[in-house]
Amino acid sequence: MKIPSTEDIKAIFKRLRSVKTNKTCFDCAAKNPTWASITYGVFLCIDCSGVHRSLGVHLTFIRSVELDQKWTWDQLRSMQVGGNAAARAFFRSHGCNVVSDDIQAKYNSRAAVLYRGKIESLSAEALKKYDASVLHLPSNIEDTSAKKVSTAEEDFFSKYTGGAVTPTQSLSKATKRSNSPSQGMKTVSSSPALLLVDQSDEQANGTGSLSSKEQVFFDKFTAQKPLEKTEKETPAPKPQAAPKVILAAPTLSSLSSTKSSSIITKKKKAGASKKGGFGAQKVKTNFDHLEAHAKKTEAESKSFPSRTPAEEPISSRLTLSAALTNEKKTKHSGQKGVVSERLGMAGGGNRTNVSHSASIQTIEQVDPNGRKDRHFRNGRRKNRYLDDDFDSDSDGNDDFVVVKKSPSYLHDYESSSVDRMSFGKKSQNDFAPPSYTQSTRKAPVFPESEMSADMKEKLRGAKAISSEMLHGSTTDSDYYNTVSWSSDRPQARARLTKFEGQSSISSSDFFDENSGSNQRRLTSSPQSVLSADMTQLKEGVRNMAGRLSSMANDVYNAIPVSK
Amino acid sequence: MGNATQKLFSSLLGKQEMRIMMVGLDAAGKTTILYKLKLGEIITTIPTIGFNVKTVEYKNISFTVWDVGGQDKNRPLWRHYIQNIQGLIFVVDSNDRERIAEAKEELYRLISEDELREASVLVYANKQDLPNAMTVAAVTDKIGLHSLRNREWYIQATCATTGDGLYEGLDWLVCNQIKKARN
Repeated sequence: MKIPSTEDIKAIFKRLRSVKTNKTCFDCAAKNPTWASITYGVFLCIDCSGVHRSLGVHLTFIRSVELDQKWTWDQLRSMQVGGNAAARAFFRSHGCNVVSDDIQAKYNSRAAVLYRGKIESLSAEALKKYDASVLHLPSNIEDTSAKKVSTAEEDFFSKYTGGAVTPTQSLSKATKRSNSPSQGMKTVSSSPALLLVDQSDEQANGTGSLSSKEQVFFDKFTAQKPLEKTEKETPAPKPQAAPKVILAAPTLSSLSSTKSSSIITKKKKAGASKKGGFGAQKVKTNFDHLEAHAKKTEAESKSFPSRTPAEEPISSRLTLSAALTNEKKTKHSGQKGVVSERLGMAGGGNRTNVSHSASIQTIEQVDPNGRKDRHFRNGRRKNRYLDDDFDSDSDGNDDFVVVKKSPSYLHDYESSSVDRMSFGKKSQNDFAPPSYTQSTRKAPVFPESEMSADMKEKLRGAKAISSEMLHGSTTDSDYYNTVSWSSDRPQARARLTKFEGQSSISSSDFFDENSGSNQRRLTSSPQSVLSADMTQLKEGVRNMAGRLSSMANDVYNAIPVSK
Repeated sequence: MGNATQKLFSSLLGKQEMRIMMVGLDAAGKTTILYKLKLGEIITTIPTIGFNVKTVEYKNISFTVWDVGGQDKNRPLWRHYIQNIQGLIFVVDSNDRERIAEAKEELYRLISEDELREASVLVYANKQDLPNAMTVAAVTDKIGLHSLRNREWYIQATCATTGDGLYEGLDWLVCNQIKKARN
């Protein structure tokens, strides 16, 4: 891929830095940050960048907006899909203190790991989609959209708090109080649409599986799904969806159907894999909220064994029956199963929404390693899986987080490092002089050969290596011309064992032993340092002696003068 | 008499001097190393704009270490610091596999300068404490030191935050300097 020109970089950053949220440091809110963490796509002040740099490039990679010139498209895209606002929203939604003193903890947190993966996959996607052809990404992908998304989030809350969240709360309250079903229903009926959908859903649930009618509806719904512009948070109901809901719950009024279907749309969005927007993640916060309620309700309902029959289906929905869990396991493989099950909940309004999240969390735990790792590795992780993570995260299942995090991270890093290594090797092979924008700078002259396998083997355990160790004393030019490494393999192998476990290797050591006939051989490295010290000492003593005698002379001369 | 005594002491305690330039990519740990050598402690550094210079006493040799910023824009300035340099310390972030090729590029560009023909090259393979750090051998391989023949080099695994390996590297510089002086 071609390297972005300086003008391109300037233009991109001019635009990115004109975003208001990017005008303050992500970590400390200092004004006008000029440093950037590419890993998270955020802008930082110089002080915070220093802290970031101390964490290591595997956690956060810092570049200067002004002092670094060789930005790649990859890095630029990361900055474009990222942005302070989006990162802040993400961290906050995952319960991570955004302005935190403990930066180490902040960037080692699970939220950080997730966001890192997210930025990586988003930028890879943007890179794939736009290549280097477009300077600025479309505004809905770029950071400028972050504000839009966050307002959409607020819209979502304000719009659905009355209809969606409150009934759940009141419902859970009702369950907690273990009231009569009629009272519970009365509370719910403040939102008729939801009530009706719930009822229909309970009917469906009573049979333990979804009706075929519903299944058809769900399939159709998923077929529509790709048509939705996922980036846009359009709360407008899908016209096809509404009649289907009515099918399931024939008593629904047109108003309520509109409402419930729009909720469905929302939930579909939350679960659906997305291209670039943060909409999914925003909606997620709502789910977390609901999930907390679900937990509470579940606990409460367990503590009250004498439930009224009318409550039974509700609580069982909330806890998500174990029977469903098995089905869920096959969820990843069977797309249809996924759809139907998820929509089965989606069709049921809020309580089912809750169980939806709960079920996904269960899957995460059942199936911890293989799948997600692969997605990490590919850097193409679907947001669906991200969503899964979020659910389990909000669950507060700490030990799961711990167990899960490190291996997947390590795996990811390992594999990517392998890639990079191979890349490095390739570039070493061609030794093409790097293209440089600055003509004033000398092109580096690379040495031609590649390290032989023998040599690699030999040096494996070394803590230090020197030129003498490999090539012999450089002052002794005829020496290393006559003794070449490759001509000396068997001996080299034998010598290898000697260097094993040493913390340093010097070329003199190496080549000394290499040629037994060489008279000017140097000692092997630990001794060479020692002997050098000794010679230094000797010289010092000799010097001192000389000085002493000269001083004695001086003194001797001085005394008569003073007399 | 007083004069003579002074002379004696200055000659006895007189220190050799060595001018060292420390370069490397940004965030390799140059400033951290400098302050670790100078103060013996870890300070929180910020990216170096321009340079830091400190004099470090070790083994009766006073090292004047120039620590030059490593950002892209600073790198062309490196060659302005290389006059009268006796040793070059090149710091590599062993954990940064992605940019090791870039480090190699910069190293070879720098040592192809005439002023550095005589300088010994000490490479610090820094950040060995990080989990995925490359070994010394791997770094040697990646930056092609093994084929750098007409030059005295030494690569040392270091961890600036603990100070491991820093003085071993300086030891080599000292030895090498003495050897050169003798020849």
